[in-house]
Amino acid sequence: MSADPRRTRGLVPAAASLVVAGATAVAIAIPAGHVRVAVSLVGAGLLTLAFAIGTRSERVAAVATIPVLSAAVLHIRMADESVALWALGVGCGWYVATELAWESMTRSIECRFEPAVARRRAEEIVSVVAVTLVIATAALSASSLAPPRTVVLEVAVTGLVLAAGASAIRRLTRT
Amino acid sequence: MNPRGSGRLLVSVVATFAGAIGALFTGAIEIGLLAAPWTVLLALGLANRRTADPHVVIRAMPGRVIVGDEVTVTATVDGVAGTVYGTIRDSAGRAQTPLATMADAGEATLRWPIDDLPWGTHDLGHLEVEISEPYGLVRWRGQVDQPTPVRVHPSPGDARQLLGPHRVRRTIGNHPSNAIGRGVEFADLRAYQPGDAVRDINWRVSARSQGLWVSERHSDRATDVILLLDSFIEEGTDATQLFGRAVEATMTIAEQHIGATDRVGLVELGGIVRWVDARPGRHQLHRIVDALLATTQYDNAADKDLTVIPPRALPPRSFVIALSPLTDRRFVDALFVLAARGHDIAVIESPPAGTDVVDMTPEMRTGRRLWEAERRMLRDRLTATGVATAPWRRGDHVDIALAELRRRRTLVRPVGVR
Repeated sequence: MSADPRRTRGLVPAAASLVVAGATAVAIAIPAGHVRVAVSLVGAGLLTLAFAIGTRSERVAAVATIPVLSAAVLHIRMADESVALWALGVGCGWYVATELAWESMTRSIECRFEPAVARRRAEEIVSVVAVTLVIATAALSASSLAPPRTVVLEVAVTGLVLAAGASAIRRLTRT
Repeated sequence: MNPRGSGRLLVSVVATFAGAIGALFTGAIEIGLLAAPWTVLLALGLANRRTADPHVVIRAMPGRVIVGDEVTVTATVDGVAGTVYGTIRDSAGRAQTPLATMADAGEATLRWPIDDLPWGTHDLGHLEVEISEPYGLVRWRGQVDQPTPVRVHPSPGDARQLLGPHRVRRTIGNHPSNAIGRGVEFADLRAYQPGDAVRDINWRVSARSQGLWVSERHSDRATDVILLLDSFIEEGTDATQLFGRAVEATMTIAEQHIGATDRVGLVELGGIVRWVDARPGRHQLHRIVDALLATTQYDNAADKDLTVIPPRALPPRSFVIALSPLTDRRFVDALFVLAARGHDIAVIESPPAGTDVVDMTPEMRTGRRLWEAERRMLRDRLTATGVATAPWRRGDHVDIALAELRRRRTLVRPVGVR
């Protein structure tokens, strides 16, 4: 049984891009200015995209974003001041890059391309990013009104998150 | 069809929970913001779920076409929201171009125009469908099989040669008979008698002689034509091609004789024996074409003979036009039996392609000569029993074979015909 050539064709560039993405993540762990970090993360994001397209696998595309994500988390942990807007930007870039990779895979593997469908996907991506920016900006603006963190509050919010997750999973598995 | 979560759903759920838990336990809201787009995607995707038990209907229009004409296959998917992907496969397993469309109002329609179907009956009701719900979190996949037959007829034959039968029925038709009556073909002259039509007077002859003379004509009559198709499978690479040509020629000849007001029937003698009773009219042509489109070769070693065919499928003394490569003993035996019963038989022989003589070893050449000698003997035996045969060579128009057959039929007489 031989491997699907469509899935193995881009393994070498994909592996190279993963190595570079990991190296970028390590590099940004060294204390540096925000500009350098942002540039590094954009580079890592692009390489992630290349990786995803090269391997032609949605799961690999998702896993390959881990270096970018971990780099961002590392930077957040090390930052002296709040980098909320920066994190929001990276999050949106991460999402858009992954969506583009998936869309590219759909076109190349399944030979599907309809302009109307591509336009709808673009609208969906834009709407997700727009809604995210609006809600997150509003939440950040209202953060000064947030109550002080206590154990009780943390438990309550965790419970809410878990309840919402359980509800979402139940709704998904209903059909 | 069954729904399945896509990669988007997996990433959304994992990122959302990881972001929420990470932000809660570390106190860094930035971690939550990093995963915020995935959370929003999850929320929007769940809020826009409207697909429930999609229903698919496949139609093909028109259901009956000629080779080269376009058939439009339409798949309507009901109860769906999002993007619908579909791939149609024909009965030969060939996939048509995958299509995608959007469904906003609960119904999506995919259309495939197909114009390269070979003749035959095709089932275009095999659809591989995938529905991607809005925001792509959930996908429905499934295969729908709904019988959607499309009959593709061969191109109408343009043969001009019409084989004339040795015997005719009493009904009016297009074949000249021996009897005198209303017709086109000149038969004789006789003196004018009161009551003769003025248009029958032969003015040229009358001008040269005393009195009036009228032309007598052979009356035009119809006949019963039975098309006998040999579908016994033979070994060889060109068996399918040979058989396809025979089917096409059968359709052409059937169309010609139905146009000549003959009653036409079909008997397929082979692995499966089937028949269409002889009847006149255009409807009969459709019946014959339908039977031919369902025809295929079956490898069968059983001794099939004419006893399995009911008498009404082979009316007595009917005109039998056989299409055969004359390679199967059972079919050849059937021809002799029919000739002995008094049927008027003509055989269009489509000889199988042999290996090029240049490429043959001496032993093969000897074998080939023996085989050809056997075939010549067979043709002579058939001719002796009143059965004319004419070869229909590869690449020739069927008219050439029909013209040759007409010529050879003037040299033979079936049993009971003077």
